[in-house]
Amino acid sequence: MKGRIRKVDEVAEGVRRIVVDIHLKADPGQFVMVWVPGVGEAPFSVSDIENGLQLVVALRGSVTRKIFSMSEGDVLPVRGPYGKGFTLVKGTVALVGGGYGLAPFPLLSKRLKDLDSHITLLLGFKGSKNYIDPQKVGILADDFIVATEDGSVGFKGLVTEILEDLSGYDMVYACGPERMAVELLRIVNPSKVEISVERLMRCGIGVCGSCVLDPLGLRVCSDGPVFRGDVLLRIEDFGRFWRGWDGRKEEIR
Amino acid sequence: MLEVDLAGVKLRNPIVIASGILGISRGLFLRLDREGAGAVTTKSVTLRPRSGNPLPNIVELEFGLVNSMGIPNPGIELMCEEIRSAVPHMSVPIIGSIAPTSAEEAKTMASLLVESGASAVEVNTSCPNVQDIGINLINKSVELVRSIDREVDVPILVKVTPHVQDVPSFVRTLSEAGADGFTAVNTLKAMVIDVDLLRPVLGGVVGGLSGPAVRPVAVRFIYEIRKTLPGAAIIGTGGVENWRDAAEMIMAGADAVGIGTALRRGLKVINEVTDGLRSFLIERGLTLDDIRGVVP
Repeated sequence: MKGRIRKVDEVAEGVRRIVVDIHLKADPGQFVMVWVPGVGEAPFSVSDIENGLQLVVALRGSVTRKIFSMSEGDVLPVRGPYGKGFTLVKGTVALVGGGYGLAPFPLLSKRLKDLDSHITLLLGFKGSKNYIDPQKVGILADDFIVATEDGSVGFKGLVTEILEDLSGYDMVYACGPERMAVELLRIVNPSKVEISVERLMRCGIGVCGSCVLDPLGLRVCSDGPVFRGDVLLRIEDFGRFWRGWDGRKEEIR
Repeated sequence: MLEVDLAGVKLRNPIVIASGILGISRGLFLRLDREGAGAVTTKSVTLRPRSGNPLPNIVELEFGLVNSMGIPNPGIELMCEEIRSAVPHMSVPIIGSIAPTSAEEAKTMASLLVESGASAVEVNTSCPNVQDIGINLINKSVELVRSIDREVDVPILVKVTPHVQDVPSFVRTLSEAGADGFTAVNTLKAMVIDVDLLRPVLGGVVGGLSGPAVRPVAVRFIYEIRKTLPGAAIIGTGGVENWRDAAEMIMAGADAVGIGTALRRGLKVINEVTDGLRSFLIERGLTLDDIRGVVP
């Protein structure tokens, strides 16, 4: 599939919301592989699918640098959606995001609202220049709490420090840095949390093994990218290792 | 009833996970075992770690996949660690696939794989996606096989490229050099162009075609190899999506059947194929031996 970029907004320093004229069906938490000809290909969370495909893109490597140089009218080829997304729960839920990890939340919050769930949104950022206004990307929430490491917006500290009591939630959905996810698993019932995991991917369709999580042999691209917390606690790589392009494990800093 | 003897290696069923597909970590070896495979082939390994080709590495077509992974792997040492830690917990054999640059390397890697617990060695001189190894070493195949044969006692399989012209003389020469069997076939050199963007899709430009499109080619290779070498072990590989495709390869002469591209539909495909084969044999009152190479 390919479509023209319809809208580009800077939502924080080095983070853009991009809407592409591609109409697809996707579950919240699934991802697409975006091809940037001449540069490469990378996975991105499907952020929203209403009125086109919305992606939240952070400047990280050569693929995203090239995407940042594109503007309205440029063509973006994608394949997907791939993977297994979040399980939708009707009830009282929390969405926990770190930085641009909030990417899948717009679509997720809409689907949860379709079920009349009560949504508490908890977002953490490094500082005000990294802060992303959830309304600007289309996240629906009944309550919203924000924390920044430098205290420039909302509470001072990590997002995981403001959620002392998460026991009342029927489900906690999380996406963000792996350190945040690891910390989250310390404070919530692991069987009531679903976390979107990121790894290097090549095929995206479950045949190459590049994104494997051991010792369970789970493929992030097709068994995930969303996994339940109790499954992740059995992954020795989780929070510790990331596999490079040659498959060697590298420590997550 | 699905047990197979592959050059002395016992398989509980004929379904072998093809090289390049998932065989990269302890967890995946064990998982493929649990999901019902008869054997698991490692991704091809090189002496040193290798990062593979730039992305995109894969294009999905309605009749298969074109990939240009470029043999990404963590190198022989780490691959052996994965195998060593998996083997004590495995109920099926691991076939170690190597992509050497020289006879010396082939010998070294083969013996390290066997020491780590690999039950057979597959020599990949047929990968179309690399410059320095793979298909560009096809003319060295005999030399590589000979050096491995002197070094290890396990069966040696040669992964055959569908670009070979004279199949009988190719396999006969390798058999004389010490190859116990053949995995036929590797992917067919291919290319996909995006006509809207006026450029090739794959980062490696040229890749290898797998999936249903190559199946009849694989069947013909299996048939020719079986006619040439009645005693050779053959893993038929290329586009097997269901039990009928697997049965077809066995009828052409395969002992075992590789599966790879089909796993894009999920690992459940493995059990679907073995269940289907079993039902077919029961319904028809046949055994695998009855149908192997049955076509005249």
